[in-house]
Amino acid sequence: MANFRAEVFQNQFMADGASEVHAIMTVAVDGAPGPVAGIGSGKMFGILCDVSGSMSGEKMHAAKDALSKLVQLLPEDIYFFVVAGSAVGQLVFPAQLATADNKSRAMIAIRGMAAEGGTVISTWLEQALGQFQRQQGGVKQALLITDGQNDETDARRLDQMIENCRGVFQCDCRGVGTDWDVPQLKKIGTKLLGTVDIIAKPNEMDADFKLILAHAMAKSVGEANVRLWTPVGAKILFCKQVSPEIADLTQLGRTVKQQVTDFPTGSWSGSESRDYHFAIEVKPGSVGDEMLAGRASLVVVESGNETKVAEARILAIWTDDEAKSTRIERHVAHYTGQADLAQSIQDGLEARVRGDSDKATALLGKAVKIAHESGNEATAKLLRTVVDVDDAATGTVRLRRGVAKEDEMALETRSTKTKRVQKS
Amino acid sequence: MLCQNCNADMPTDDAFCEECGSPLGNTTPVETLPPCVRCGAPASAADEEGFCNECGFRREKVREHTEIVIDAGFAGVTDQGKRHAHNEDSLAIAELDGTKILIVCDGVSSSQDAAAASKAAASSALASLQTDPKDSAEHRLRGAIRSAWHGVADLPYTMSEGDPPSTTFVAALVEGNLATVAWAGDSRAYWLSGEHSKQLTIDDSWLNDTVAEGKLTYEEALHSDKAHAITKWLGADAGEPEPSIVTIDLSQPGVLLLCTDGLWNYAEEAGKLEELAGSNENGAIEMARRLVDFANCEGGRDNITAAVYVHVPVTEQQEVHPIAVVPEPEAVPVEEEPAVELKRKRTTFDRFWFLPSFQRGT
Repeated sequence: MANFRAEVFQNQFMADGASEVHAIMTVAVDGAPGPVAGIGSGKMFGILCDVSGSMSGEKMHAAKDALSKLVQLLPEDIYFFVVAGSAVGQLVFPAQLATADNKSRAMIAIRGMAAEGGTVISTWLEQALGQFQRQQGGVKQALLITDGQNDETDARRLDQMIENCRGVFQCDCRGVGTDWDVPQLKKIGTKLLGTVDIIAKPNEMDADFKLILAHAMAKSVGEANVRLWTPVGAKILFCKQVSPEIADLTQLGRTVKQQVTDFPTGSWSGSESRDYHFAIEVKPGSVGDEMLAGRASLVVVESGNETKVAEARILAIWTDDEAKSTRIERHVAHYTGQADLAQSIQDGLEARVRGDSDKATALLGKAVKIAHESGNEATAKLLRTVVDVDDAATGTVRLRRGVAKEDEMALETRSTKTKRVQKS
Repeated sequence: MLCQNCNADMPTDDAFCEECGSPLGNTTPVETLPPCVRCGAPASAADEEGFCNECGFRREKVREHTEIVIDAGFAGVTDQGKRHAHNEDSLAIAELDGTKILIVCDGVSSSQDAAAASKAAASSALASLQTDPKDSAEHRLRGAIRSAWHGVADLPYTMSEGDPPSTTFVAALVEGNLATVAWAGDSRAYWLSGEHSKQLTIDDSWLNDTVAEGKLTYEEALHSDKAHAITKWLGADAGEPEPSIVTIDLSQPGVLLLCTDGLWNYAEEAGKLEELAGSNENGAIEMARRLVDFANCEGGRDNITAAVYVHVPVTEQQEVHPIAVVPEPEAVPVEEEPAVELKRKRTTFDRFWFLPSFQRGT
């Protein structure tokens, strides 16, 4: 079993009567390549490729090419399948071991895919779900590629299907070109614990797919949950993954029993680190009181058995020493800032689309300032494709004219990537 | 593993069943506690650190209150007060071959791990005073405060997270009819003896420094935010301490009191403190308790510590124990006209080396 460590960062001190407790938990698993945990019957990798009419031409050609190369790279001991998605999901290659023979047959199936028809993503997910359900436990990772928007009539069915898939498999989503809908793919990606990104140029698919596969193959823990115990009467205001990327898990929480809620974190590789931000509203105490406001742990699920692999406590101590209670802990401050950064970008871009230039300028300027202060260079760079920065330190910016659609979408998609707290 | 009480399946390393709250038997059971005073949860529903598994509040834990009684005339109390979650004061008192040792330290609450700081200072100083008696009281106190400083400065701390662990320090040695007091910071020593009652120490505080330099009047300085800021302490950021030292004559009966600001903030006039301490008929411990109770009744905003030594002057015939070699002067008068005479020299030097019980207890 990989070696997990959890650590909580917080300011335990609360002002008299205060009730909101914030804490950052970092969970790190170190790279000791041990026996794989939670993998009952290996790994399964599913490819869901859009073959609707809009894909025809260069995009389809590039996708087929990239997927063929991806299939060739699959390790021989994993299972894989291919769904061609249009108005219906078509299982063009059912789940089988990635032997040389099977790879050849899958590549023939991929080459045979023709681009025509609409986009009904729920049917693609349904096919994938059927395949993934054939395997007990293990790492189950899907890659969904689309270039367009889902059929409007499918909205409710898609929501339902995402719910059905939750907890069964994880799904990375890639939007090709600039005609797809960022919030739509974000919804699938967030709920199915996967990444979402833009592939602006078809010829970039190849490299991106390789990364996705490498990432999926590095997984060594199939399923783990962040488990949060809270006192009776406490309310979990939110539970967010804040690093490497912001993902609000609050709505994905599942009540295990009274006082105990599980938040899914999907699979883990043998060497990675993630940070979570908890906000808990507790019964307010008075000066001198001490409370265990939360017990946060990581629970690995292995063929139905749960193992607690790391645990940390979240405390609250009420004091009348304002110097103590008003201090905001460094990690909490940093990630509160990063969440603010992501939100400012989302809202700023939205205002910009609505034509509200003043608001867009103010919000994107604020984003530039936070990105600058927190050293989030990746986001700062994306912001510069949308605004001209006069002074990053004060957030003085001007909206750029003639912004490329793909730059705007890249910013919208990647705004949730955070910068880790700098070591002090 | 299965809970023996309700058969629920629990993760193997859990200490308590989350279904019924019973201990799972894989850790030492917690001491028996009464039901949670906040939510009525049974005693078993508390984790190993005493947090209630239901409402989360820490169980009515033992208050951080310590009493030390050496004998009827020598005792001390340290108490967390009413507003602080922990007691960051430390108290050490001891008697060694008739020599009374009193040490009181107040961890600086804005520094890291203030409780560890005061504890390290008090214990290091006590160890030093107990092992190195072949010297004058002043030298021994200087050695003790140096040990205390090392003890505090050696504590681990994080550079970026505020001041390193720091503490105030006041210690007294009583030998025969002579007391020597050394201090750094604003923990105080008082001599309570009727009309001779007086404060022995002068706080190392911004207020006193400013007034002494003539920059502000006492009244003006008192109103500053910084009035109570201390200008000397023991800590890694303070350098080797240069304590203030006074030696006083105890030829009158009286009470030597060492205390932290948790007490004197509510009553700093010596006469008032003597009145609050009351009579010694129930022993020094009762006097120390009265002082601590008083501060708690006034609000107990800070940790409170009082060390009380009831002094009965030693007559020439009685004087079989003690000892004091007070070396060359340097004694600092407390006021211009000290009510207590500050002795500069003792003449018992020649008898000092012949005391048979001298090495005992070292």
